[in-house]
Amino acid sequence: MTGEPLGEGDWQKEPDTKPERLLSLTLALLSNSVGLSKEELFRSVRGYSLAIEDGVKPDAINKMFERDKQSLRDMGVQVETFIRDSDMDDNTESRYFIPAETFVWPKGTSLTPNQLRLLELAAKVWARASFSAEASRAVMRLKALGMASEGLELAGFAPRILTNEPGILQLEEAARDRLEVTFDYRAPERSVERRVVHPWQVRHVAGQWLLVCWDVERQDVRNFMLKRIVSRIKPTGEQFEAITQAQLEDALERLRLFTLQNTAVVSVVPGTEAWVHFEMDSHAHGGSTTYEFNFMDVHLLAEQLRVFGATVTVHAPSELRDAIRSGLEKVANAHA
Amino acid sequence: MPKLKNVLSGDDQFNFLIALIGLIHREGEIHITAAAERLGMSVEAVRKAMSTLVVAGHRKPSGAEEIPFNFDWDLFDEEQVLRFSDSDIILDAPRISTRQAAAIAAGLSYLKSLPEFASEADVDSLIALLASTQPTASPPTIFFEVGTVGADVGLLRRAILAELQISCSYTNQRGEESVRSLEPFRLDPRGAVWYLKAYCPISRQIKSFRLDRMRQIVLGENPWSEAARQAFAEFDQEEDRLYVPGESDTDVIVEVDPEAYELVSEFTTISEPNSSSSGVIRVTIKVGHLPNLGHLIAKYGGAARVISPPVARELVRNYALSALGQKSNDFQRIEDED
Repeated sequence: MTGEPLGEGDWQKEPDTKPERLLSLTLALLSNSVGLSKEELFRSVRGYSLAIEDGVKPDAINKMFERDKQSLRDMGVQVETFIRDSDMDDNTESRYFIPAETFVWPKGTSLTPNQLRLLELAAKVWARASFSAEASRAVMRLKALGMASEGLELAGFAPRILTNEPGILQLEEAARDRLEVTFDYRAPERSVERRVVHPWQVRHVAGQWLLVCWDVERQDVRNFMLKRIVSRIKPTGEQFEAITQAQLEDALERLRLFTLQNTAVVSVVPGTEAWVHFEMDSHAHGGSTTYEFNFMDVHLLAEQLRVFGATVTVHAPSELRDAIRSGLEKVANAHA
Repeated sequence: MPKLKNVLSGDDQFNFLIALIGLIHREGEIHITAAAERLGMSVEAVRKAMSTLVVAGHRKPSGAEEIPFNFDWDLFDEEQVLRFSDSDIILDAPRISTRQAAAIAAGLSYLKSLPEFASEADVDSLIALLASTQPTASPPTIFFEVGTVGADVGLLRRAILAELQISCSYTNQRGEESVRSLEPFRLDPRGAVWYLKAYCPISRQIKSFRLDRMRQIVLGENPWSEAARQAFAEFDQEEDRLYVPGESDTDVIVEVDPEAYELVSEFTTISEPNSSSSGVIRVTIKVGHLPNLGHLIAKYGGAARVISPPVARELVRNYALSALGQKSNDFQRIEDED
């Protein structure tokens, strides 16, 4: 939320009648128990009937309707279709309706001022990052469920989620719609590879956004770091079966076990920034300068350790030492 | 940054309309000012929404026109209170979309990872509420995993709320440890890294300090100084970037691959690359203290490159060579606290 109320005239800046049309469409589909065919809809919703009168081509009206359905869906209004039994043989025209029970919150749903405060803060953590629009819209809607809150602003605290990966919205959408997607992935020290995956969850782990997914070609669970996706994310047109919580838990457990297998041993020069850093990370070391810890990804760790320059020495594993060294060599060469 | 906060898209207007419908149904009647405040909109925007509501109708297949919403206009004219009259359709607050729910739930899971909210039962109840209204029982499509946070956060929060100074030992990037007096203003958790925004009496400005470089934090007895109060009053609360540009900043042109986009994200809007070759972007970033570039750039192991000025390229090269042990440790690093 911007916090700033909208001023006069803002409502009119978009000249089309889309909000009105979306509302009329919602009302028409809600109030009709036998659903409406597309033709009936176009006649009963003024936005469409006026467009038809204005001579807009059927193709364009159809496209408008498809976009409107998507908009409704983005706002939480589920338009469903069915084919009437009596139409089965000769006429297979779809009829559209909105089931009333999916439309409104379950009876008695309400929110306390404290819950509203938390929701607003949860929306705010997205700030300018991906999902900020969705989160703000959700909060506006949820406010209708709650009691007025006053003076519950959180002073002196501005938590923010950071997303620097442009593909995050698309991957979340693909996960939600169970769409198989393909993208180019550049694993460190390897050439770019095209991957085909079933996205399960976009997950923030240890400072990184990961895509937890099923790799169609490898026929196995894989985790991809979003920042290593180097192409557009394209749907293949295939859909996949919904996954269960247990499947996801299995995948995450494997990631945890994998992390536990990776142990790094480093030593740091006392009194340096690195020394402070590691003492913060592992409280139990009592003045020692050698640290041992688990890590998820050797190249990610190399990135974190390069920041400390020569004040950190890696004892194990050798892959980590090599990754730090080869990265520094690339930097030196690129700036020769 | 692109900000369209004064123009609502058609979708946003529709979202506002159904929020308003839900609010009026829930409340029975509500003053227009209260409705505007609740939904974070202007009174004028509510008026416009009302006029859209009363024309949003549809024709029944029979041909009869149906306008489901009408207001009790007498009540509105006299007291500016919104109440539906004779609406055919009882429309309680409509549910939010899967994506809206996912965005909020992820925000909540992030809050839950912060000590301030770890024990808030309401966070869990809200996550459960959001999940319960979704059509399928599939796991959430976006999730923020709980990380670890330094123990001093609670102390700093107390100092901020009580408007007190603190002292701490701060280690800069050269490994120089010094005892500092700071006037803490705001905690800025950014992903996994925590920063404290505080007024620094030495440089007489607000700066960001990394919590993982602070130790032995002690709550002082002195309240914020006048100078600090003034600096806080002038600070734009909506400004949530860590880096506050200064007049003596140097413009540095860098080239980054997708792996290093985070380096430039505060300076540009990034869109999806078309292909692996087109993902390289050039951005001018502001650097307060040039020697900091060494580790900032070297971190990415080649995925970020300085194009100009030449002195910056030289600094980065020297940093890399010295980290490789091929050059004596003669580079200068100064704390990057802004």
